[in-house]
Amino acid sequence: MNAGGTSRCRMISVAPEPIRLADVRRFVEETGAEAQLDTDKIFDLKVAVSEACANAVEHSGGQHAPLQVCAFLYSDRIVFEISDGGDFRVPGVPHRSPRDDRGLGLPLMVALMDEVRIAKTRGGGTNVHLSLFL
Amino acid sequence: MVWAGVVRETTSAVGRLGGKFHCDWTNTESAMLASTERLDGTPLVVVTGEIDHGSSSALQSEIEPCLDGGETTILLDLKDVTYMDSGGISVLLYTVRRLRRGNGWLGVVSPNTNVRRLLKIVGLEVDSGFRVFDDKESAATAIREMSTP
Repeated sequence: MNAGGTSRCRMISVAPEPIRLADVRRFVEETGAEAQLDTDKIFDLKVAVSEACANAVEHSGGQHAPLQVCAFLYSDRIVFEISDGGDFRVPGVPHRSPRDDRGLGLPLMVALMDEVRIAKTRGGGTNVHLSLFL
Repeated sequence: MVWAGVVRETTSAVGRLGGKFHCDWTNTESAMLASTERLDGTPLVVVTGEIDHGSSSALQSEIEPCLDGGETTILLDLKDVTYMDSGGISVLLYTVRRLRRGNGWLGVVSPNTNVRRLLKIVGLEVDSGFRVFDDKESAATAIREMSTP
C-alpha cells in the first residue's frame, strides 16, 4: 500500500475505558498539528479514531489489555492504526437492539476517512486502519 | 511527545516501538457540562465541552426530564461544543425520535462547522424532527412562529 516504504511513527497506549477516549483525541490532535493538517482534517481524524476506540472500549468485556493507537506519517498520507486485545468485532455495528444508534461508528469512519480497513490481530483482537490523504 | 523516527512500515517495527515509546497520559479527561434554561418558554439545554461516548449519558440525563415532562420542542445550544461523535449523535437521534411522536422537534443552536458537517453526514439536517439554527435569535423566532396560531 505504501509506495514510499518509510514513515514516521508514534503511538499511545491506554486502558480500554471511556474516560481515556479524550487522551486518545489529544494524541490525535497533537499528531495532526505537528503534521500541519488543517483543523477540519484533525477533527475528522479525532472522530474516526475515537469511533474505532469506542468500539474497542465497549467490547473490552472488562479486560484490561491496553488499547494501542499508532500514527504513521507518510509523504502523501497520515495513517492511524487502532488495535485492541478483545475479541474481533466490526466497529460500529449495533449488537444490542434495532433501536440502538451505535451503528453510526463505521459509516462515520468511512465518510470522514479516505481509507478504512478492518482486520484481525494475531491475538484475535480488532485492528482498524484509518488513512487520510494529506 | 515526538515522532519515533523514520521506520520501515512493518508490524514488527510497530511492535518494537510499542515497548520503547509507550506514552502514558493520564491527565486529560473528557469534560462536558450541560445545564437547562428557557428560551421563550422552551427548554434550552446549554452544553459545553466534548460530547463523546464517555459523556453522552450525562447529556441524555439532562434532556430526559424535558422529554418526560411532555415538552414538544427542545433546543440544544452547541455554541461551546468543541467535539462531537456518534456518542452525541445517538442522543440527538433518540431525542428526535421521542419528540417526533408528539409532532415536536429538536433544534440545535450554533453548532460549529465541523459538528454541522457530522449532522449532515448522518442525515439529521434533513430530518423533519430536527432543525439547525445559526444563533439563539433565529431559534427564538422559530419558537414564536410555532406558537402563533
